[in-house]
Amino acid sequence: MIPYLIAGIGTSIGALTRFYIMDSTKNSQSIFPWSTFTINMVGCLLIGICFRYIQTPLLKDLLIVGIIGGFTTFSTFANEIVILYQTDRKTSLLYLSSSVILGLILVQLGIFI
Amino acid sequence: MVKRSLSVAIFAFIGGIARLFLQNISNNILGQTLTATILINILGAFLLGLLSGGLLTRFSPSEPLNVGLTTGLMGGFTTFSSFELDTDKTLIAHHLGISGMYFVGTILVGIIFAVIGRKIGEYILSKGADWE
Repeated sequence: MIPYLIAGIGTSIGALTRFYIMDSTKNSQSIFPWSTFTINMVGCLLIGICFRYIQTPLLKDLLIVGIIGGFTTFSTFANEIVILYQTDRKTSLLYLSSSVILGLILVQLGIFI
Repeated sequence: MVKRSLSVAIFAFIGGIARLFLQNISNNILGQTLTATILINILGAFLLGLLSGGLLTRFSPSEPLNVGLTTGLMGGFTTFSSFELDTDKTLIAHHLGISGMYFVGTILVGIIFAVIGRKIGEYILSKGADWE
């Protein structure tokens, strides 16, 4: 029961942080989804670091499952690709490939640090 | 802003718990969480597509409920970071086949299901306009 509560609270914190970042950048003129991109990339770096250093189960639930899991988002990422593809195929594919490849590099960098 | 924040927090709480729950089930039955994370991200991409593709416009919920369901529930349920970490972990463990299938599969099927969700959402929206 406790792990679920901890993970839930962590997810709330992560999602709220994402919400405030998205809300404060919603008037951005760029067609590239910089907000989601930045959020997901920061999350990848942080999850690499936490994966390396955090061993306590409850702390893992709070940070990895909760805060970072709730901060990053796959659903928005996938839907932004679809929407962007309808108007700008190149940028959509650039967003897709840069997110998944740089994400991997940042996870690995986080594990190395 | 207070109502919207509260809504995001509550729905994200539910989304995060649902994600951990499914991962635990997968871990207990299959001995790994990859399967659950694939399903979570694909289902979330589909449901967000359904919601933002037309369902929310059709039923026009209040702004707090709107942002709670999308940013909170779907955003909290799905996870980009675990997806990338899982890919990296399987890659490091030299499970190249699993890693590649997981990586490409999640992206490809996730996007396909986002498209399907949006199409169904658009359909519901157009049907709704016919009824009125």
